[in-house]
Amino acid sequence: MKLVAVTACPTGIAHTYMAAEKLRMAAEELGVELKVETRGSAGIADELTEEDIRLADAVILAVSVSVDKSRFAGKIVVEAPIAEAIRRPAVLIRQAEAMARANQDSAVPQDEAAAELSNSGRDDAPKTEADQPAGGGASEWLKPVMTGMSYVIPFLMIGGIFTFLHARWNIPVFEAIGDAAWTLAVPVFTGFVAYSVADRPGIAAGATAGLVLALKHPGAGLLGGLAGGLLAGYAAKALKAVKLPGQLSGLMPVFFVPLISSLAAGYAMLAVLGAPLAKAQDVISSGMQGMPLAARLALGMLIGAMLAYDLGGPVNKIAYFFGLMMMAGGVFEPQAASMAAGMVPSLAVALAALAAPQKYSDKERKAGKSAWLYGISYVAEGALPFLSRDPKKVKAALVIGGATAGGLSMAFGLTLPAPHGGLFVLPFVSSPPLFLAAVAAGMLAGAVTLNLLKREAARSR
Amino acid sequence: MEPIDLFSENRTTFQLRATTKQGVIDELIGLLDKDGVLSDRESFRKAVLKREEEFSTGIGMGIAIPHGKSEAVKVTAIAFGRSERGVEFDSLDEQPAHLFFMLAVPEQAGEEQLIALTEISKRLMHEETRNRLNQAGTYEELLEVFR
Repeated sequence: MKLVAVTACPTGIAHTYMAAEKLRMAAEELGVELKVETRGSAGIADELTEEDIRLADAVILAVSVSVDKSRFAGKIVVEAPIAEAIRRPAVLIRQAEAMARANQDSAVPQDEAAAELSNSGRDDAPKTEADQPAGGGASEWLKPVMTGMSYVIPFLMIGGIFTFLHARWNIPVFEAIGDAAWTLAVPVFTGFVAYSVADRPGIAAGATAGLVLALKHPGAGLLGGLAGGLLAGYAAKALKAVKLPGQLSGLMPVFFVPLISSLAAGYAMLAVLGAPLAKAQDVISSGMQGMPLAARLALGMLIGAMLAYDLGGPVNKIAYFFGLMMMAGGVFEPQAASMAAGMVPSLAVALAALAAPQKYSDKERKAGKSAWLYGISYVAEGALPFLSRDPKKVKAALVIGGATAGGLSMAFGLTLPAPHGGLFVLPFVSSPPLFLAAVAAGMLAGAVTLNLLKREAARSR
Repeated sequence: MEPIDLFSENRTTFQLRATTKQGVIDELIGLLDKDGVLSDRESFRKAVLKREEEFSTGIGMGIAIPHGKSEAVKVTAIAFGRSERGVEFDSLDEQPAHLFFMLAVPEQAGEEQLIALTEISKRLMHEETRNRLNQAGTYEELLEVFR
């Protein structure tokens, strides 16, 4: 990954250089190649050459004055006020990386992206100006859940896999590690949900409320954690906004905010919401145990369809969260369905492009080849280049493929105690052959549907 | 021209008296003025406040760098102040600021001076620099940080 950036600010004395340094430091930490051009009162330093720009995968503009953007025409550009680059340099870099990755090999016409670039305005939030595939942007309201999920997934992985290994071979150290990670999962989740709402002051209250839940109402799981994290986060956020006289203001973040917000969220979890949420989780879990075949099939199809619907968008995340939530509650069937269906989109387009290359552009055929690896690693975004080119047909085909895989997995009663990993967690599925069959059926259904739809379109044109 | 050439003992204080943003700005301008950096104190003050209006120079991490570029500045200079208890500076991270660098830059500043300033801005982004500044107690130790 290769990025370039420009920093500039009104007086060009300090912020320009601070932002540049922050970006460089963050890039080094993230292992990303980054060249930063500074446009300040000391002139233009480290000026980007045409060659630099041509080779860059994405451009970061951390500018609070207007700069000439024409030289970046056709590039993926992430634009943010300079303060963002000082405050959250890593976020900008990650965003640029993600956009670059999602758009690699995609069929966005260059001049379209350029047109969008030239008539764009500016606002406070960092924004991306390249063509967003349908449903690609995550909604604001889902942000806390997604932040929490991204931090809790490794814990669920540790807990799930080590507990599984212990159950099979009875190894005490695996049990200890697995138990520890399971116990930490809810506090970590709540902590980062609250962090997403209230920034740093949210973490302590969120994690504390989460541990109250984990210790006193362990059954409430991630569902309870979501409530606790949101509560702690909004409490901390409200308190942060209270203005105290200057002399006392230093006490706010270390004294008032953590004590009051953790009391509010902790009390709510212990005495008010913990028990009913544990009950709710229990009702869902036990309901799943005794489900008749038809209902299992329907649930699996729903999970699968949602996962394939918007490739990493909000609908996909909700279904994924459901799988994780059930997994943290000790019910492993939905997670298996989610894994099977999540592998389908990339695999289905890969197979479709391989089987009928004449129906796809050069770029799509190339993207199809790399989609195989995305698919087996449970990354649905491998299908994005196809989706952005022909959204309706691709979406329909992927939903059918996802529903097939998800439905079969649930119908077979497959279980999986791992939150991510695709083919690499195959050994942990209750029946690897049946799991592969479900994935293959989904892939086939998706690819065949896609190629059939494509043919009809060709005739009617 | 080295970064440390921008500092002066007369423009350095480890005990800022001010407890407000306005107060800190005025106190640091006072240091610049007493040291003969400014030809027109009021006009420089206006430039600093105008810059502050655009967006706060409280950049977080406990640092604020109020600055002004103005005809009223005779020579590029820095006034440094530290406040043990911290001052609310509308900072990006909403935390009080402890280290203040007021940068005074003439309208026609020399390139050497500006490059020296950028060097200081860069160094401030490193945690090690900030820790050493928080521990420094004398002018000599302040210079040591940027040497």
